[in-house]
Amino acid sequence: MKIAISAQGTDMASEVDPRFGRARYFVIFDTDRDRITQVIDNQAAQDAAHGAGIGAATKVAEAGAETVITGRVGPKAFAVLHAAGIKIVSNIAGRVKDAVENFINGKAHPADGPGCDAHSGQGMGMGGRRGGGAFRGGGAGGGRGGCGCRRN
Amino acid sequence: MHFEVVVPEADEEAADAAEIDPMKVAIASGKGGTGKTSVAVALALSAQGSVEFLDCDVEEPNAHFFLKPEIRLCEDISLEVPVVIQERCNYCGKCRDMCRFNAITVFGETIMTFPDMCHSCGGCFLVCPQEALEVGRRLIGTVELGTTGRGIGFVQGRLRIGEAMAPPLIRAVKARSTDSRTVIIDCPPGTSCPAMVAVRDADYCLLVTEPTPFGLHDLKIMTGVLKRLKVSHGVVLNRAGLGDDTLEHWCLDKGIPIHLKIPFSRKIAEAYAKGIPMTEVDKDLRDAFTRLILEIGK
Ligand code: SF4
Ligand code: SF4
Repeated sequence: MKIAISAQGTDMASEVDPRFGRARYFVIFDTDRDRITQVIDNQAAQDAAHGAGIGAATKVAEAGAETVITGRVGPKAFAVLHAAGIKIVSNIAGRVKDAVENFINGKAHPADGPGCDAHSGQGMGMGGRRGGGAFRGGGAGGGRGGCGCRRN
Repeated sequence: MHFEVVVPEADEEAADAAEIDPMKVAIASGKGGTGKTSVAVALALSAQGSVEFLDCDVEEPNAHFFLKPEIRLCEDISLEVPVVIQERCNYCGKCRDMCRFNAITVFGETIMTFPDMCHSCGGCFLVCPQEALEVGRRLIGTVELGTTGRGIGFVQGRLRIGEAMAPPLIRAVKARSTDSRTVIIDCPPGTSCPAMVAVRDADYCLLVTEPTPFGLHDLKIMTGVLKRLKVSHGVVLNRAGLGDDTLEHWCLDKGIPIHLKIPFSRKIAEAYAKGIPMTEVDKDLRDAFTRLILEIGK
């Protein structure tokens, strides 16, 4: 199984990046091989004025990750990850190595809602064709991230 | 009540209201609460000939409290956003790569749109090789049109609650302006996109500010932006006498005219609270605004 960890660096000693959408890198850790198999440079999403979370979640989905370990996930990224059937383990800080170990040892669990760091939004999910590929079709457009908080 | 109008030469000719050219005056301020709307309303009420008031402060349109227009028409304003025709989409991702706003994304065999992120640029429709996108609509707000008791044409935009994209709505408000001799544009406060869209193509911009350090800070930003937009501008100093004269010195230094100083007055504040324009409670102030309109029309 592949885990995507938002990270400030490219190796196991890096710190987990608290931001999902604007994370510097995503480290893809393959539990079957017990090593990092891919590093995604998220610079483009970092530079995006809007929707960094959507872009980041898309890349993570395309890398075939089944779980994301990060600090906070906004509602739009949540909608994409949810549609891709990816589990989210949020509120994680510290080193990538520890985050991965804790997750494998069952000390960190997936959350079931977006974090409170982004303004509410909605996605219109469109189910894809069935069968084949690592992606669940599912017309799951994430609902409103109705946490009531506003940016700034 | 004292106030001062800084009219360099009040020549006879300028007093002849019939001689001014049509003009669009934008009323802006670096932050909210400076009395921007009060000044805009006072100007509209003091101008001669056909007048039109555009309330472009679409997040909080409040000029209607003072002008009390009768609204005749209310239009919904929406943006064109893509809607996917599933059977045609082959998940090639061209739309996603095209979209600068991440309003559409594709991964595996899933395509998702985020209508509230869409800027309606039309790019995705153009690049889709499958003609798999059709036009849907996202309501961003309404535009209301009417007339006040004194015959002032009135247009206001009202952004849908939760909607973030004010500029297209502001453009819609401005597009509904007819060619009145004087068009008063009440701009959104601040120096970001919405304010710029409202100010753009005005003949003149009046910056309403207060003689405080914050007022000066915002004024510096605003004048910088207006210079770049090539919109000539001057200052209306509200609640004059409350702060110090640093701001006035700065204006003098930069050659930015201070057209009018409105002192802090209990009478004006009380009238404001009741929705009464300041020009209604102070005849001298009304004359001052009439002269101000003539002055900037030159
Ligand atoms: S119209 Fe433009 S902004 Fe909207 S989804 Fe298409 S490409 Fe993106
Ligand atoms: S460009 Fe058209 S066919 Fe390709 S993914 Fe987008 S909607 Fe589907």
